[in-house]
Amino acid sequence: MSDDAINSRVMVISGARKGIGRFLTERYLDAGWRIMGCSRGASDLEHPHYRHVCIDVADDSGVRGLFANVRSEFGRLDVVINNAGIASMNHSLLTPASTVQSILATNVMGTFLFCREGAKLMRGVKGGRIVNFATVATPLQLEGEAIYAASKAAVLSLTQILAHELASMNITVNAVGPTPVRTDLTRAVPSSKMDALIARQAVKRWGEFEDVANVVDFYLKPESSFITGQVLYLGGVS
Amino acid sequence: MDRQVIAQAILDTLRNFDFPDLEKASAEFTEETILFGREGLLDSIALVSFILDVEESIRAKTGVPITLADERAMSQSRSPFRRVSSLADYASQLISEQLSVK
Ligand SMILES: NC(=O)c1ccc[n+]([C@@H]2O[C@H](COP(=O)([O-])OP(=O)(O)OC[C@H]3O[C@@H](n4cnc5c(N)ncnc54)[C@H](OP(=O)(O)O)[C@@H]3O)[C@@H](O)[C@H]2O)c1
Repeated sequence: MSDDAINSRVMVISGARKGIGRFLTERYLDAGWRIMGCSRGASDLEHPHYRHVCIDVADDSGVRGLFANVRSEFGRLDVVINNAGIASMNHSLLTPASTVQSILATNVMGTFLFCREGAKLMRGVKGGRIVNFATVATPLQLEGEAIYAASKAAVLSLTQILAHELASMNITVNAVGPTPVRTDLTRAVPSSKMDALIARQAVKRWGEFEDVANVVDFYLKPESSFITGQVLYLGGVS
Repeated sequence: MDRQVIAQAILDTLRNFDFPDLEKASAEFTEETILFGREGLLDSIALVSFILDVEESIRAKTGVPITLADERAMSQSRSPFRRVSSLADYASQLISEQLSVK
């Protein structure tokens, strides 16, 4: 692909303030993308091709507003990365309803709204790519992560069905399923739990930001237009 | 909001619509044109794209963002998506409601 084509491409990344989302944002900015990022909090990232919007991904009107901004500022959209996500580790019997509500709101409603509004902008001849975030907690059926894993199982179903619904609009929808990666999301989990989890992977090590980026790169390649409705788990988990 | 403007936006959208079937594309469109259902121009997949195009065109012309395919539209016994005229009525109603809450 020519530099010009990459220069003009536009991406929306949710949860761009920190963690994996921040890493991906900086990486794709370096590669010449124009990016609209969001999170609830403000971002300290400054770059001529970066805009940050403070919204909750589960807020319908906020999400619509973000995509209206993409339309007016950039006039096009090529990729949506649904990275914003929250987790909470707890035994089911000790999990308050409010925790369930907020995990489902961010992970399921947020992912859905970004898919819907993003696809409206991307549909057409050029089409687009949507990358959602799953987790190995779902296939590994991790105890203590029932709600988190269930919310990401919903993300998987969304990914698979939207792949069908959006295929005629030339939009692919796929998911990446990271193993534990060192971010604020995993900081609070006791290291014995993490070691036990990593022991169940085929490749027994922590995931790095680059491991996640590699899968996203793959989904975004022009040659990946025939890849949709898939989830790729890292670390040999299946 | 002038209903005529809305009806015109719908007809323009129809004329620019990317019909897979060329015969349909060359048809004359009027307010009586049947969009969806028995003898309609659009199948359910095409209807989705068409509704999005109409929403987009109305937003561009009037500055009012509307959601045509809401629960109310889906639950009406007579579908607003049947004809150009019924869609124009429904869209005008949504727009005036939207403007009155502001
Ligand atoms: N780290 C791991 O081990 C791991 C493993 C598997 C899957 N994942 C998935 O990878 C994704 C990124 O995780 P991470 O580890 O990078 O997490 P993180 O470091 O906690 O970052 C999460 C990001 O999402 C934003 N965010 C959270 N809730 C939001 C909401 N309701 N609305 C808007 N923004 C919101 C946060 O910013 P604000 O707080 O400012 O909103 C932050 O920028 C998540 O989907 C997660 O489930 C992570």
